[in-house]
Amino acid sequence: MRRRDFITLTGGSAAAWPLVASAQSPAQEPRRIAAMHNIQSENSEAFVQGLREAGYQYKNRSGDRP
Amino acid sequence: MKSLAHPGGNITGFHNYEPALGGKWLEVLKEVAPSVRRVPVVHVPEIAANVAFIRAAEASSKALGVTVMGAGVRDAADIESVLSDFAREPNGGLIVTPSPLTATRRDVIIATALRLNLPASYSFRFYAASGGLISYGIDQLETVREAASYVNRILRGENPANLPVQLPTKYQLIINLRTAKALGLRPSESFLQRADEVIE
Repeated sequence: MRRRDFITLTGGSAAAWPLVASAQSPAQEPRRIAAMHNIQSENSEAFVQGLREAGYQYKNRSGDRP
Repeated sequence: MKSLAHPGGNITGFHNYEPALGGKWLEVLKEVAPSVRRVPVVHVPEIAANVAFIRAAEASSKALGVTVMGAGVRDAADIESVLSDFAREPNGGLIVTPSPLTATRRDVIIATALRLNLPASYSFRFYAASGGLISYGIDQLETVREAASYVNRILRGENPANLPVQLPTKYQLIINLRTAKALGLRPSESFLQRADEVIE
């Protein structure tokens, strides 16, 4: 897969913002995950939902964006 | 990346690019708007992935009795002028390929298509949710949810080199019935039943 294809279809850097999150699983140090999403905030929500399904607690550290 | 099955480095993931969708967008457009004979494919010329969608639409066009042409745009003003020129002749439709431009300025595209009476096919659900006539494509939310499972596996020690890149598996067809009515279209019952979502 060419990287450019992927970036194109997920929205590209022009329309993306960083989402810095920490997710904590039991018996482990908190993890910090940086996620780039396009302008669709529902993508961020789905990603967080996926983390929850995998057993993580999620805290949004970006402060200003969902 | 060495291969999709064995990426071999420190990157893997779920990708959302299927060029054959170009033909599918034309097919569903023609089904909902049978009078369509001419279809410009709105794209950003610098994006190679966009151009592959045009080729796929062209490959399907003859069997559907439609003429397909590329319509390169670089900003919202381009979109309005290209579509206005195009709509001077009758029986027009529209395919809009996904890009940062068409996603962020979908308001302009959707309003212009409605004003010029152009039935349109889009790639992702959010275009139809914003008022686009039809979307057919990968379920982005499902893909992103599944990507979180890879994050989990890597955090637990698996090596991304050994995690295959996953191809899209789940597609969804969505029609905006409000927009269909505004365009004077009456999608068939069978189409509505086949749709994963009908936006009223």
